[in-house]
Amino acid sequence: MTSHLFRLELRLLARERAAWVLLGLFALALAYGISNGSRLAQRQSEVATAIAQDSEQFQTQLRNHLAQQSVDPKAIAGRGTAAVLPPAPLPLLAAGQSDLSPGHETVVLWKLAAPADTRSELENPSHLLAGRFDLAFVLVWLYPLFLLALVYDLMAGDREAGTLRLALAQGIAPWRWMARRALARALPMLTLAAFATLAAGFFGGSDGTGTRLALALAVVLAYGLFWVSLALAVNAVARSAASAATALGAAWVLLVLVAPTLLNVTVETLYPTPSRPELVAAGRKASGEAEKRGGELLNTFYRDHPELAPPGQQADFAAQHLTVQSEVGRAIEPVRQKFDAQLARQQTAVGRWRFLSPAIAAHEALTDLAGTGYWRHRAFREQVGGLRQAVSDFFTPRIHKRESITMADFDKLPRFEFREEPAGVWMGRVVTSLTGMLALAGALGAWAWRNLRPARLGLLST
Amino acid sequence: MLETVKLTKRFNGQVAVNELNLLVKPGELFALLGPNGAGKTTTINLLLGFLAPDAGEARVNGASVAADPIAARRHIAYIPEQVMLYPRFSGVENLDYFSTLGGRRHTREELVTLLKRAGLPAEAADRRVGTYSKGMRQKVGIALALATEAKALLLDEPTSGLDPAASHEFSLLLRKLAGQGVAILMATHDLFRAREDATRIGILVDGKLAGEYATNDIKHMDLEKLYLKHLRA
Repeated sequence: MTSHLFRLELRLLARERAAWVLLGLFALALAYGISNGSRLAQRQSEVATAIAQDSEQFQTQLRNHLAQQSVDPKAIAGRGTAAVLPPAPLPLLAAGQSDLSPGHETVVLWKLAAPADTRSELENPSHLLAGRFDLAFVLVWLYPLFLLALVYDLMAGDREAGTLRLALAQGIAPWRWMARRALARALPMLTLAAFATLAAGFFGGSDGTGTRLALALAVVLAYGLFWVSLALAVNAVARSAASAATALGAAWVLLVLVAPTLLNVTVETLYPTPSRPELVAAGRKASGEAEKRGGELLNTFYRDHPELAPPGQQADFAAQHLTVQSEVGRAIEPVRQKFDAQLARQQTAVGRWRFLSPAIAAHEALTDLAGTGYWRHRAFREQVGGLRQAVSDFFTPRIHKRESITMADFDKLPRFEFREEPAGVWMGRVVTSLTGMLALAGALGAWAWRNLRPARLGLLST
Repeated sequence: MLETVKLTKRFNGQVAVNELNLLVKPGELFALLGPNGAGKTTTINLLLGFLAPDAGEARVNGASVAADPIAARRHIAYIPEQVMLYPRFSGVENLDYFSTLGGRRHTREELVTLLKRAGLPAEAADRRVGTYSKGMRQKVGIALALATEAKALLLDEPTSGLDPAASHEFSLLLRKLAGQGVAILMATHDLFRAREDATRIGILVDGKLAGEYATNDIKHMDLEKLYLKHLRA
């Protein structure tokens, strides 16, 4: 009986031309989102591969060279050590931070105190300003709209058309009827969203991402379920299709547009980010003051190219620069720490308050699952910080002591290998978001169930 | 069997149904006459469980409607003044949909037969309801009553707006259902149809049953006089 009613609801939906148009538009938006994500992921992967290949080539050349003779550490230190963030596990799912935060950095001994690189690839500024039209954008911002367009008048339309009285008179519990109708009408959109999520995993996911993909699917379905439950709750009390549509439209604006903006503003007010220029200015000031003590123009030139300093003075220039740099590093460290700490505080606050809107929770979960979220990029930055320290620890004493690098040192040279966040950590964040969304959907469902009591609904139908 | 015992309903302190006692036995067609606002539709809403009574009780087959409206509705078929159906569905599909809501499943052949028994032309069964006349939609309503095999039928101004031929056809169907043991309560303004079809007639004024008559005992002209007399009283 249940499945027959479900099929009849689907057939009723299939008779609406507007439903087909909406499904077509949603499918197009999903495909466009995946294709955009794919282009970005491909470009980032090409850059990362080129850097990795270059680094590998250098290592081979260095090994061959060291097999014949020792090398001046300044020459190797000047070449730099590449740190590359491995490709995101599900990059097609969400661009996340990947178009803002660099996924690679070359750590050069002489520039350890300089601020970290920003992106080196060319990027359309309008993309950075408006965000990308990626799959996460379609799923978080547009998917609710398309879903609501199919379920906004679950019952309010029947109330207006007069079919509600006849339907209720048949002796079905209203909530059973509405739950079936809601699921039947939402099913095509939920299916398309689920297929798109799976497609993002199959076409762009790396190996071993089954759990991430399964969780992404669960997040997408739970997010959809939240909006269906909201439509159910609104329909339980709305007296007309127009009022139901208005209420749901307002809810979309509030939850998808206003709440995230409000949260950003609040977080920015509570934990204002020190400006990046402030960080750069602090570095310059500290550098200028330090250089005054050692100070000529020549020093500045040899600072960047100590290997070009006259024989016999190279170590002096290099040692002097390292000392200056160390002082600059010490001077700007508080500003750098403040900068990083504020960013972390902001993100922690966003994580804590993400249930203000399921849109925030869904977006955070999807970027986390894609591997393009804040926390993975932060882990990368922290590990690059570790590499900077390792580079300094390895080269500085050798340069001061004027020791050459030999074959015995080759394996000890600092190298970068990214350590992924433990699965339990990111999974914990995602499962919390998922549970929160399901709890919100459940609460709305329970509220709708209370308001779909036979007598109350009968009264609304009279 | 349909029964109301001292059934009372007020809206904002205004009495709509006032200690109404009614009993419609199986095979009976009870016509509830009364002017607009007399409480006819409210009585039907109370029997359907769409409204909760302020006092008294509505019963269907002996079971209290207020205690379990869903169960009560499963024993009732209801035909409103305007049988509103899904215009994008055909007659057969509408019948299938609404009878499935009531927990009954029929084959396509059974559904077509039910529509035929209700008097809907065979060629119309698969046509979209959006093209149906009011009379045809009323027939789908009758078919739904037949499909649910209900023991009680509630009709709210069912012949209002029907042409005389359709109205006559509808009356024949009602008499047939009554003959099959269905208890029928019909709220109507139509004195002629009430006199022709009903076994008993009740005149409702200000929510109270002002008079109750067996149709065998009164002629049409007498009914009109009685009706007006109760209204003026």
